[in-house]
Amino acid sequence: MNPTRRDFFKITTVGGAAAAVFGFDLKPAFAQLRTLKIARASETRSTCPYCSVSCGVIIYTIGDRAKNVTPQVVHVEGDPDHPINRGTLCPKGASLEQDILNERRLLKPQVRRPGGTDWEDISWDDALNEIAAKVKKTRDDTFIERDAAGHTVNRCESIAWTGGCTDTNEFNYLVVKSMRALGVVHLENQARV
Amino acid sequence: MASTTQTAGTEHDARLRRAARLSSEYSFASEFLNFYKHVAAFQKTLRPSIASSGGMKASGTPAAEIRDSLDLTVLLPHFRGFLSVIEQHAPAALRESARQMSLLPTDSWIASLEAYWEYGGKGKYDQQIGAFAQFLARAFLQPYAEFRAAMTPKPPMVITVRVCPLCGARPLMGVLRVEGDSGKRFLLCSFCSQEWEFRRIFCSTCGEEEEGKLPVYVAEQLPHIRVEACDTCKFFLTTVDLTKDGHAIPLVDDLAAIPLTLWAHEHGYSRLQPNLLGT
Repeated sequence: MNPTRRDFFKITTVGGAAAAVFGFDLKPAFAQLRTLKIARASETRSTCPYCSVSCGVIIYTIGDRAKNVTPQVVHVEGDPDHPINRGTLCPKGASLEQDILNERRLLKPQVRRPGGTDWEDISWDDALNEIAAKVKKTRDDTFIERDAAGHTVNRCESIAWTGGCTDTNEFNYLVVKSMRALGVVHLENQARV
Repeated sequence: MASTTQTAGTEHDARLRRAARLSSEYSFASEFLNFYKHVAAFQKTLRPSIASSGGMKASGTPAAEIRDSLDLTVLLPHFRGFLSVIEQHAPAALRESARQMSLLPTDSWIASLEAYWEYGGKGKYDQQIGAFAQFLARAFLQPYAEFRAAMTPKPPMVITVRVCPLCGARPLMGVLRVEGDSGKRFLLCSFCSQEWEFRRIFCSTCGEEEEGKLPVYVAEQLPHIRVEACDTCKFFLTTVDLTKDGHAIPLVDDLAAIPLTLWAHEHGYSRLQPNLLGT
């Protein structure tokens, strides 16, 4: 007796690993699977820190997220989806991996005192406190309430701020708010991101 | 028209050459690839008929929708030949299913092909009809779908879409093509084999964007194949990286990447849309 269409569909199997159902021999593939050396990579979007073009980059980090394993940056390349650079990078940007993995890279704050010849380590708390004290002293010492014609100006011309190209729009907004509150007029950023 | 047929022939020749090369290189996938060579060789013979008859309509006035109409007058005379190719070269279970299909009346063939043409690659239907019925319709109609897609103007891409903008089917896999010094991602349609742009670091199944939840697994032995997984929805996308191997043909290399597919399944990830041979 010939099967009907209904019979035909009844013998079929729902989805999944259909290859085995078709009758393919999966043993060689499973044997190969046991020999594979598989690495887990994470891809992270970032911005090249060098110039004001602000190219998008993708940073590849290898690591299986185990507690005792430090993730390792293995490659940096241009972000193909980024409208500015569309996957390209200049030679300097293409060397970013060497900037991240560099024995001369600073990993903590340091200070060189006036007249000193060497850099000293300093904690983040001490560094921030010192900077705050110097900002206050500089502002107190040099603040200009009125100009020569007697107009109220409330300027602090002895402090300047310059931002980097990885600063985001939101960060730059806060910078402007803070600096204007201090009376800083020499204020610049690259505002691309 | 001649150029379309020629291009199609070149495409299928490239697939056949790649399958032959990978089959000798990767013995673990040779059974799959050797069978695929027979399927692809049959598909190649089908393309001139499609181009010479169904093509007239499509080339004269581009199809508004790929799935608008299935012209079986061209295709149906070839279906028995297709089933006999499967009966001759497929593994036992698939061979038996082709034999049983060949015993069914023509009306059943038409119903099966028309149903796949309307709903194939869209998810729910694929699960309902089962692996055998899906394989037979999919392998047989693939060249027709590819031809129709090639004749259909591509809509402008203004947003990132998760299903094929031409036919609405789910993506089969990803492809990284050279963009600058990097690789831009495209998704390859499981129904009409067309590609569309799709952002990197973005899950094509659930839309997850958090970088820590989108691991990419690469095996040392298959450096141009990436398993792009999502730890949120637990689906994965096999992606062929053409920046690592420019000779790769995504549809074919995906078949050779079966150990990675099995590895992904072992690690709790599922594939949204299996390839032609069910891996």
